[in-house]
Amino acid sequence: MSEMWTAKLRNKWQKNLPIEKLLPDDQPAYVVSWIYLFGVLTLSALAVIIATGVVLAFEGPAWYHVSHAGKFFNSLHFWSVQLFFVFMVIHLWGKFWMAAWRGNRTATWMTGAVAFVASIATAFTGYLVQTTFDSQWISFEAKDGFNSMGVGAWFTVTNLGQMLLLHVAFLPLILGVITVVHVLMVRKRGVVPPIDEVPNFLVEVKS
Amino acid sequence: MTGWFSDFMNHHATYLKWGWIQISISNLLVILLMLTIFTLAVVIPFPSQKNEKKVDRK
Repeated sequence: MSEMWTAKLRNKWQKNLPIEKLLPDDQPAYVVSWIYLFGVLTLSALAVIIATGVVLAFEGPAWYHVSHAGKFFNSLHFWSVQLFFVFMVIHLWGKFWMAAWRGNRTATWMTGAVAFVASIATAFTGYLVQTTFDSQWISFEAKDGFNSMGVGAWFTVTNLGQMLLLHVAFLPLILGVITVVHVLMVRKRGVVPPIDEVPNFLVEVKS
Repeated sequence: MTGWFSDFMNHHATYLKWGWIQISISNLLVILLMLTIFTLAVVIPFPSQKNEKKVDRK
């Protein structure tokens, strides 16, 4: 075996996440339930958020505050975020009641939890960069809260430039990386089986 | 904006209060909607295809 780091990485990847697991064409029978759809619905909403966000970033506030098309894309961005959170919270409820951390899936659960927190931070900074009276009011209410925690000088909610960069660059990058890692972990371990699912090896032992 | 939706949107939110708990009716409706969707997703059977392959968990 080659000692090159690329070969080691390739071998490790192929061992842990072969292409059959990464892009499967079938799933276990227990996945045939509506509750298993909410993870991919969350991803779909995130795709719409990113796509509309890119359009808003290119065209700018003078476009999305004034033109009909701009208002439409602004609304698409906003409402896809609402759906993103609805789908994500239902996904979270479903996985909580399935105890989805079973079967060595702790890291999958934890990355999901961190993605949830990163999403909240991204959404809150989004409310601060609307460049409307609403965002102005929110930032001036929020500054007192952050100042009382002693982080106001470092995380300045009234600083539009800082909030905008966090919202369009730093936080989406963090959220994107966590989401990719989360999905790869789901592919590696497979979808968590129901609690009453008896593993095949136990069935064989009983029979 | 005109019509009932305009009337509905153009006033401050109505809040429900139980002691220290307070929530706007809008937020309460969204939470109830999510709980309803969650319940339906668990209860309603997923339509299965006739030629569906049964795959054993490895």
